[in-house]
Amino acid sequence: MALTTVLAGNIFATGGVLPATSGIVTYALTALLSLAGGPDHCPLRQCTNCKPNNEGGDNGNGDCRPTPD
Amino acid sequence: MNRINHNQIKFRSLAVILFCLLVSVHGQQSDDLPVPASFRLEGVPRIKNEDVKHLFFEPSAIKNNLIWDVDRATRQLFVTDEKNAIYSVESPLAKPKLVIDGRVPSTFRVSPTSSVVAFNNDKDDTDNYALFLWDGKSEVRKISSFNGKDDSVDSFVWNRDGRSIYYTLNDYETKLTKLCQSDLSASKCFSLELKGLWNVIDVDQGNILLKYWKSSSNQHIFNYAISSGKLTPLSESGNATRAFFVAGKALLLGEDSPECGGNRCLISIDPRTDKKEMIGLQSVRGYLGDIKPSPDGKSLLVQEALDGIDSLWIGRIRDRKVVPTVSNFLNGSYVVWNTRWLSNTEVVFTIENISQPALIQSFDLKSKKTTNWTNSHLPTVLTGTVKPPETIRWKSFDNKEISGYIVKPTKIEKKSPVLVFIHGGPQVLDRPTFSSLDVRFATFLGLSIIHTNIRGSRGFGNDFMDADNGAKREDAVRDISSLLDWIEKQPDLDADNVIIRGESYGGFVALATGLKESSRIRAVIAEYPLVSIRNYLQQSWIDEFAKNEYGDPKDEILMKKLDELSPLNNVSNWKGTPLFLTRGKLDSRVPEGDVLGLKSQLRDAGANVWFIYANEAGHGVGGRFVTAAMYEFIKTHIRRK
Repeated sequence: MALTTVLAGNIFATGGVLPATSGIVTYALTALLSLAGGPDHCPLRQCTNCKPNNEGGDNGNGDCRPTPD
Repeated sequence: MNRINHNQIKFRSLAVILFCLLVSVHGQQSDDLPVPASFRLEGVPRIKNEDVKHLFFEPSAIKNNLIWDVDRATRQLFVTDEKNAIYSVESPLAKPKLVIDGRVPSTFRVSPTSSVVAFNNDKDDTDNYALFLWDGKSEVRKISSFNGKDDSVDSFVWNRDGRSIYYTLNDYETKLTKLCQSDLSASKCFSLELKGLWNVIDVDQGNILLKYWKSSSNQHIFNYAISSGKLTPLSESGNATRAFFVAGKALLLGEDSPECGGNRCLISIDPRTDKKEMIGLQSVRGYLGDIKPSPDGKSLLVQEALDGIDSLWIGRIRDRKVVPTVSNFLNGSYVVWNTRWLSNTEVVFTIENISQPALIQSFDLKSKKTTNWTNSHLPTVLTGTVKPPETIRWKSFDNKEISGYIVKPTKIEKKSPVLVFIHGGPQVLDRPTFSSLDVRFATFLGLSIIHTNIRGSRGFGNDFMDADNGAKREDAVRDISSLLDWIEKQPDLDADNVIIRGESYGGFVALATGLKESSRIRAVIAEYPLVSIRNYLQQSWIDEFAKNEYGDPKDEILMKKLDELSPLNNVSNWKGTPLFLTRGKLDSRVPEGDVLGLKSQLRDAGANVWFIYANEAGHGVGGRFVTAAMYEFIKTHIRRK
């Protein structure tokens, strides 16, 4: 796909931010075990903050994503 | 005669002048961005259409689809769109058809054996989710009923035969959860008293898997045997976040469980015999995002992230290990938001990244073919305008490493102003999924946007997630202070031009940062924020989970310490930092008095507060006007060189 060329083969660019030898590190420390998704780590009333598009027309893509489970 | 003519000329001249003035004023007002009728504004200046119209596009210009669920019976997908409606897609690249408009559900699940859909929705009463059924033809039917004052169906699952639904009726007033069953025509609840917050996660062969939420790092899985009424704990130590049935056995993902011997593993438990078996996950090398069984239970879809890039592969359990049978089938560098099994041999999934909207693909395990079900689209003016996100790391006050990612515009003039974003939760992981707001703000304001995963976020282990609990709350704020130190050292970031933005719990941290770091930031954006932890914990629905996170409200010493983090009743320490503040009238999570009190106190003290109160919004205020106002707020307060 055309847009993948923007990525230069990586979601994260190493650039000058990380030492070249470290590679691109995940969000995970070595002991990471947790799974993605709100329902795995946070109940509904604590973590969801859906911003339904009340007015229409704003293609702002609020936080009303399905839970990724 | 001459006098009469003179007076007539004079009168006519005045009339013309007056007419021109009226036309001018009216013209000015109609040039303004309309304020929604349901909004009340204070301190927000008029916004001219011409200043913000470039931010907005026709909804179809940005195409961003995520998966709600799949209908295996008819092989169709239910997908999101940028208007948060639900659409059906009947075949690859078919035109989506609108299915449900209006307020989005929390969970949307198609029956495993038919096209009947169940979903929960809080449209009638914010944060109190009712359960509905829809067969695609008739009207939507509510199948849950509430007797308490603060009930909610927070979770539900279909039985494998598609003939019944099991759901939890969570009573936030009594702090009890009921487990109920609907046979699609009538509901009944089991005589099982569950104290605290419970969710139902799977059901099979007369057994129901339940999760007990003690805290984010302390979740336990139980099995409820319907015939005997016996509730049995399946995980008694560690943190069991996910579980599902395969061939009648429960598989639990064990974190820190003794059964896993210090590693991660799946724990297989036969509820009939209580026999336990460890299933190794040695093939998972990176960050385990998801693991999901196929409908027949023979295969597992594994999502993991290595070096920040998601991969999807298929595995099977052999010799007490999950072994790959189909290697990574993603082509490119993406974040996967969600996945589903479309059949025993086909999976569907989304792919996206910060500058590419999500699109949906399917992968056939047999043919190894990938098929696009939707295409993503971005207007040309927003294409190629931001660089791929970079992971950033910085050391906090206690040498703890904190991370996030930064989105930079492709073109930076010398140094770019910075917008720091703090997610809500706090047990949330901010990942570089597509954000049209980020792309627009970076493109049109030249902002570099830093997304943070300060302590308290998930994704870095239980200790990290608990590192902000109770008395350690300020430590999370200090993570942002140390980020400001990091920004000062970056040659391409303007440390004199930093704005802090947070939503919900993130708004609390943003406000606390505004209090603490007024000399180092230009402004604060606090969206429907938590304002006072003390007052938050006083609410009737607050449960054990919230207290484990925020502290015991009876601990006055702790509460006083937490009071100091909030600008509420602390205005003399605010130092005039401009504030963008939103609140939904229907927000039942954050006491309204706190937000309105904060607004008034700051305005009375002379602070520049832009306040948006949305009468029809709950815990989440968004839309075109909010985006435009935020844009104008940032533009007003970043210093142009």
